[in-house]
Amino acid sequence: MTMTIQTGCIMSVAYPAVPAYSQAKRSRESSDRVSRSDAEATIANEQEIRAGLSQHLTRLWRYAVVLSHQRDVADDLVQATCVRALERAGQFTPGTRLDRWLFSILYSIWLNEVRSRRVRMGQGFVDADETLVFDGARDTETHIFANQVLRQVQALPEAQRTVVFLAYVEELSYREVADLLEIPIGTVMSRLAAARAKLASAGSDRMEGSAP
Amino acid sequence: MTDPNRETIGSDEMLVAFLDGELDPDTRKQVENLLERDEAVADRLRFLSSSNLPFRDAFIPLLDSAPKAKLDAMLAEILPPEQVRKQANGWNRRGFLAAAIGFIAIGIAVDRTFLGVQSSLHGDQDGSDWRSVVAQYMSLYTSDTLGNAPADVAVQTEQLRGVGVKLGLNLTPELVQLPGTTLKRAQMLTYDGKALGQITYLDAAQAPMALCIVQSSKGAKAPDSERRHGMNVIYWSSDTHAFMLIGHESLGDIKAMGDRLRHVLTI
Repeated sequence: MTMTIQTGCIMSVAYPAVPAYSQAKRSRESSDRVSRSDAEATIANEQEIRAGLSQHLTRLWRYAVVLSHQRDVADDLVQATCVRALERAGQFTPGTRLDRWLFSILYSIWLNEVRSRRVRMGQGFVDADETLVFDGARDTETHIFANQVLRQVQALPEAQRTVVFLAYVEELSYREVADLLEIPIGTVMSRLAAARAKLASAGSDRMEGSAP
Repeated sequence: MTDPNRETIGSDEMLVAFLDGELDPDTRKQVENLLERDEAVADRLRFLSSSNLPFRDAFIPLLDSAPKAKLDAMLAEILPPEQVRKQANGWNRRGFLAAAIGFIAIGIAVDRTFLGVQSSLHGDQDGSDWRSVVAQYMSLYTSDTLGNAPADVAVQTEQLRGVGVKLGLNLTPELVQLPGTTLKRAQMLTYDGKALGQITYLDAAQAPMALCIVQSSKGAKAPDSERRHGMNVIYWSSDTHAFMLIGHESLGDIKAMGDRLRHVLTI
């Protein structure tokens, strides 16, 4: 998988033109885009992206935890994403989904910079249980079940939990998941199928009481 | 997903896509037909559908546990790229030097060379050269040079003690603390073969500021001020030491802080 945000391929990702991130912004952009200098556009974009980042920080962080299993790595990953997004504000296409764009930047940094470096350095990633145990104070039945689901997803191999997270938690369409991860839609389908089979098995084990 | 061949219709991929409502109407119809005819496929669908879990809800606690304040603060600290670019254009060499100096955290090797070369070039006739070198050196500092790490009093106490021992002064965080600033660290540098103590601060505007001290036997001198490299300097001497406080604060503020230090640092 060669994903890089170097050459603006994020821009080339064809997100469906669903409700624009900001409808008003889009019509204004398109009407006077030609007359505006690049610098002006960049500044406008930078402010818009800063606002968007602020709005999506916690979602980005959650995605980073799902990828890395580690809170401190997630902090760094979100920070790197913010810096990169602001640097490349000019590459964001107004009218497309800003949250998707930010997610794809975060994933690219994870894939090309953080994860690869960690693997090279021989540092593994800790198990989901170590980082994702929530306070026992709210151990209601619903909470225990939610925690169980969370752990099962986090225990999936990275490739599978990423698509499960994007498709079922962030509720992206298959197409959007494929675009964000820059993989064929068939790969999204096979990863989801494998993940679902695994989760279903865990579920039936649970029913039979043979697993915690 | 258009026109899938017959064998794939009953695959897990198709069944999951069917459950997720991701199939186009034609394919969906084909899957439905197969489910009616083929009990095994229907069983498989039932099995897979048991993984229809409340994913969204399960991940809400993780969202809630995000360090929101920390992330907000982090974002606020990132400079607009425009500003960074301007700085980078105007300050390439400085940036490089600051990075080089920051990299060698203790900085002794670089400092020795740097300060040494400076003094050998000029010679110190009136005692002002060390201030010139310190000013030049300080002009390379940014707030990043001093880091964002929260102050650790124990560490600072130890650093100040070490510097104090070398200079023959009693230095503690309480003594050198300045109102409206954050004490960052104390370290030893050398100037012209002599020990030079440097105590750094971030001022109220997060700009670097430093108190520098060398041993000097040129006699006590009342405070005086000057401007060097765009910074305000207040300097004075005791019988045993020469001091300078340098920073970006107004001359009045620097003077007031210098006075305070002058009174507490009288051995």
